[in-house]
Amino acid sequence: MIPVFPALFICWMYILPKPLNKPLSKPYLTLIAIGNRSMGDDGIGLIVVESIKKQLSDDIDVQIWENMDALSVTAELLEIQTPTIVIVDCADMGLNAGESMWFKQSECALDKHLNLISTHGFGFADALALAETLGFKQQLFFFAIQPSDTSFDSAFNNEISETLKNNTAAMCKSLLLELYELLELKQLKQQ
Amino acid sequence: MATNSRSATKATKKTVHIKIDHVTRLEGHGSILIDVNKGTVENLKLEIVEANRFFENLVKGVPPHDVPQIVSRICGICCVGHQLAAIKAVENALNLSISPQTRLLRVLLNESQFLQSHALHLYFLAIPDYVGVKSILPLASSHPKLIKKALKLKKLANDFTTVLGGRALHPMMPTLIGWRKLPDRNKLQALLERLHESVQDIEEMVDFIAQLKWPDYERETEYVSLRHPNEYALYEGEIFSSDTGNSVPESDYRQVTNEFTVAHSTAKWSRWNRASYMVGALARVNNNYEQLFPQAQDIANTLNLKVPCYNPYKNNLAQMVEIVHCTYHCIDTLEQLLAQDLQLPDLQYQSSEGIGCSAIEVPRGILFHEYGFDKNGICNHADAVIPTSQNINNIEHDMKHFVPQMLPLMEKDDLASHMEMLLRAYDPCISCSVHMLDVHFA
Repeated sequence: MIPVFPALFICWMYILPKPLNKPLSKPYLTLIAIGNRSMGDDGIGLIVVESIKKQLSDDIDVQIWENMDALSVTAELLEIQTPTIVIVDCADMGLNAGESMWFKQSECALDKHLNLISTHGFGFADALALAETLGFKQQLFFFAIQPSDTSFDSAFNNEISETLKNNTAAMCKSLLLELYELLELKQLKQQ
Repeated sequence: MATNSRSATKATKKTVHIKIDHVTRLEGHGSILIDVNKGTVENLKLEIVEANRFFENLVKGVPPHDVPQIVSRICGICCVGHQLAAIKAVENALNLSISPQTRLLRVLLNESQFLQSHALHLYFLAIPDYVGVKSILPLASSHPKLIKKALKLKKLANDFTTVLGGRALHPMMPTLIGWRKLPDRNKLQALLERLHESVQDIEEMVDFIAQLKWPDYERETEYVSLRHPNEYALYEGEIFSSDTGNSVPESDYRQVTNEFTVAHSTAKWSRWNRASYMVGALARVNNNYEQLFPQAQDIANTLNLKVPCYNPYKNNLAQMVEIVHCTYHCIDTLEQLLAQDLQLPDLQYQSSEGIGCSAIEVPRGILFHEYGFDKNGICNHADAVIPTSQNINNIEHDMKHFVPQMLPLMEKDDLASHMEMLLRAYDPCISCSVHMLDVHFA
């Protein structure tokens, strides 16, 4: 695996304050990393979440869904109790490799296969559609990173590696700020 | 009557061309081609157009303990089976033996894969056909409780594999002679409780399947499965044929599979005592019904699955019966395991020259692996015969028998649909994407 986190980023992580004054009574938010480290850039979501998870407060339940098949994704989604879920994964958004974007589920159109089901072609969108059919109703946010190549490879593509060398710290900071904004909104509502 | 007679005559003189492209995920692609000219089937082929994957060459030059980890990548659904088949074959090549505890762990790991794979195939891929919908989504909408139970069972099976093997896909813990790290005792206990709880759910899943109607079609064929003197053979046994009523040792597997090639398939085909044979859940239930758990036999009765059963569509019912069998057998085996103090075995072994093979039942049928090692203990020979390549020939024979029989009774769409269902009933790797079929008529 090509290293993507420069020392600057590690230092920065330790000085980022946790914005909440006091934790919520139980986890309010589930942060899920989805990916496969054997599929090139598909492992980036796992790396990002693993890098920040020690910085997160107890209000966030962190789950790593590595190499998980789509029906297991459905089963796991249905078991989540928190009202808000954040998915971190690579996604083809037509951006430059390594660029990231934060968006709500309602702001995107996931590419569903609809009636085309197979264990191989059954992707996240289909898994989510099945979960919603079975009663999944939580608020879903995505922190998505544009990959360059998700074919079989244990390392990131050179293009995304170069981009990440310069942008990873900012990307993680961006994700952390979004997460804490969600938590602060929740706390404000409780007040 | 005269009108009916004319209609029947007209129907038998049908000219039909069916081309179903890209029946994918037979570790590649396949298609169905049917040409009927004025009632005569002129051409019927199950074309397998997958590219060779050369796994047998990938393992040449590697040490024995690396072979099972590499070949588990042959399949994402049967990874446990490929891994266990390779471990057993390498152990046979090197004359290594295992402890009773390791055997229990392997039996459990293998059956966790049966629960996962059968639940996936039956409820998410096959059953939509019998409810008259195109995929799992409308079925989930009309029967949410049923699909939630199926998902719960699949999750239990995945968790089972994870606890035993370290992860659900391509487990890392099983290796030559034993286990790299033993499963956590508390997690095994929790799994046992969940298995007990799953019995009620499974009974409700059976009730649903019992209401479904299955195509009224039969063709007797040769049923081939492992057979063991003391148990319903899944982990090990000799190779049994319903034609001869006899078994042969696993080392004779080439005399069983007799692999050959046909022009329209890049996958090898198999035949033994007649033109084709069937492996998988129905073959196992037909051959070894008496060794099923009594609860599984009761379910076979509830589902009206009488052995010997010659209806290949009812392979799906046999899968349900095996879900019940494996659930009870896993409970029994887990209780045996938990009654012992688990010991981490010494994993040291001596590499040597030799050749060894193994046979294991995986959800789709018997899987054969064979490996050879040179005097330095480096792999210099590998062979794997997967269940799907044994079944393809039989599927095509079923289709050739089905089409002329049903042609007078079915319209083109119905015929094409039944061909897909037939293919799917065998649960080949291609079944995982059969709902992606595009059907073209001339």
